[in-house]
Amino acid sequence: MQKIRLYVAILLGILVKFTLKLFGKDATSAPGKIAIKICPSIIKEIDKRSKLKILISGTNGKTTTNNIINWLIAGDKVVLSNLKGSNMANGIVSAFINNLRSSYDIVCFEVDEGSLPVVTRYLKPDIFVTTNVFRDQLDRYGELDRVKELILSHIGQALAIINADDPNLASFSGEKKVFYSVDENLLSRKTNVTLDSRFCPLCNAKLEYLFYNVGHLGKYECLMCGYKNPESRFVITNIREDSAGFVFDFVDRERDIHIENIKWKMGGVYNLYNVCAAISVAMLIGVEEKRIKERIETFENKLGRLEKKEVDSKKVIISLVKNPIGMSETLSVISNDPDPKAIVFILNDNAADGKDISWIWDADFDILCRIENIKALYFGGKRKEDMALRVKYSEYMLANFEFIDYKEELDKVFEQNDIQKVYILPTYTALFEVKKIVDSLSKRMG
Amino acid sequence: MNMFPEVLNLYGDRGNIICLQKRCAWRGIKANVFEYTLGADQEILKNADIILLGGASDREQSIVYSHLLKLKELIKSLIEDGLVVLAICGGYQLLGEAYIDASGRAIKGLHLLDFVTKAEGKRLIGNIIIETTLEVFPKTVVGYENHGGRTYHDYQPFGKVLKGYGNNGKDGFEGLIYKNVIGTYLHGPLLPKNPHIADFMLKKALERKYAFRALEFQELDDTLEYIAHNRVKELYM
Repeated sequence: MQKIRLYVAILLGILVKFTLKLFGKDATSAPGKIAIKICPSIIKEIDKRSKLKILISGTNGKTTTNNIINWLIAGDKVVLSNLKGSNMANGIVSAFINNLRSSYDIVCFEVDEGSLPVVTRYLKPDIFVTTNVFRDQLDRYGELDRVKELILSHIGQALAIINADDPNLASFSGEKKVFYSVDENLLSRKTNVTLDSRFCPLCNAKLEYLFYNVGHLGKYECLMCGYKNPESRFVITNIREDSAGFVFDFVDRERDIHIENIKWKMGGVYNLYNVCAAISVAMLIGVEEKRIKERIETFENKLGRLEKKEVDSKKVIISLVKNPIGMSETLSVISNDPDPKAIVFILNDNAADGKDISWIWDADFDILCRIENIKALYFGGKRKEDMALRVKYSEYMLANFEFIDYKEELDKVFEQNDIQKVYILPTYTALFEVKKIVDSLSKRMG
Repeated sequence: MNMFPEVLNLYGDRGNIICLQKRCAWRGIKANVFEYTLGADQEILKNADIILLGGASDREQSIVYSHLLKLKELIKSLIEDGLVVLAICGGYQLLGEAYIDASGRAIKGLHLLDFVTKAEGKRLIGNIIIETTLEVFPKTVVGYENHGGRTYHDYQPFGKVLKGYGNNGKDGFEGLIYKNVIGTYLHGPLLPKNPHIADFMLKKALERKYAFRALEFQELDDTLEYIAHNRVKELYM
């Protein structure tokens, strides 16, 4: 009976997939939704068909980390993954239906924190990667401490790959674990205004920091109980800036392996954490060092995280922003770019964006003052007025700006002649719409 | 005076400080922001003109709680003297006698005012619009609420709920006014989109400090503030 139910679920899922494809719609979520309705334990089937199971969870960096891991292991292995960021149970089952096979060498899924209970109930990971815990959508997930508990309690029997620089995650008490970290670098800071986590997870005293890399990720120590970064097995070190991003060394301390001078094309220190986590996974499952170096150097992000396109001879950079740290880091990345530019902020408050937009007040918009050559600011989305107000209350002098209906008038932005680049910073529900619009503009204008 | 900003800063509370500071600066009023941190000398509280008490997670709230208890008498006398206080969410609940958690356990509050808060059922979350009892224009105050506790009291409410839940989701009232204390569940960046409330607080603080007359208070161009304010009404009323 259960088997029949499963096959009906898969069949109907496939039907939904083809119907959507027929109408040119994206099938990253709907096929799974219907299949789960019919057979809630369908995720168990994914578990059964897979030799090695990897899950990735945390607040920021899941999609990028997942994409890098896939890029590192792609080729001779049969891999199933949700590369487009549909990371709830529906998305995971959709990935399965869209890429149906009787067995997989590796499944590698990013899982939304809120979906961990239902996913790990059926899918038992062998490797569980944690990225970080930041404040994100308090209306959905509640407090930081709860998110941390949620993640750590679902690692189960897996080998945990833990970010040693996140004081909350690093307190994980399980036995099967390895740590990774990113060394101090040119972009590390000694002080930090937007901190999500300031207290020792063990004794509640205030943590002292030697440096901060991203938000509360950095080198910390509790002077009260002695809690500090655990020794990392995998480290990104000797970090230098390159015109296109970073150059760094990756070290596996346990086996004394050094992969030197890896050229990494993405900006943002947070991406160093993502690539560190991904290489750690690759090392653990036996990808050769030479191949890792080659692959990392040719990795291109295709998913709205600082993605580059061109419209009307103007470069378009689209970067998803959905929480304070992400916004601050993205603005920091832009501040390294001297070219004349327009910046488009798009703020929606739909369920998938988080209905509470308070987070924009925790982001550091004073960074706008350090960005050279801003020719215009645009604000779009359901809560564009709030976004403009946030900028008005930063140190930046809000003078030259315009409200736009991004679904109808995005082309206006490219009409401005004195710019070479357009940065578009949308929240989640606007990301895919904006990408579509930019794609079609790029085709139209060449 | 920003009380324990390193702890009581749940989601966007910083927006209130930024707002008060900017609105002073635009008027040429020098405003100093002090951070009252763990272990600070309580005497400096006496120099405060405005105190902000934000919300925090349960764990972090319990960390500062013992520190706040030591300041109880001082804060009480300052409040009676007309000190301007904005207490949000957890900070609001702390002003009362007790917080009774889901298991029925009573966590003692500062008991500066006579009311209790009880944890009941599901969290009350969403956009909220109220009509305030304060003498300001416009009458509406817009914001976002996210609280598990229900507060019951007989003080003047901050406002009547037009949309959303308010104090307890039952009696139709939101927040509390006592002397120059505003207690509210409108969390995070309440003031930027409600510049009339921000200015109300600044006026009261200036009155107390300099026997200042409201006539001298310079109007600002709040076009963008009210566009954002009205947008919330348009979307969620």
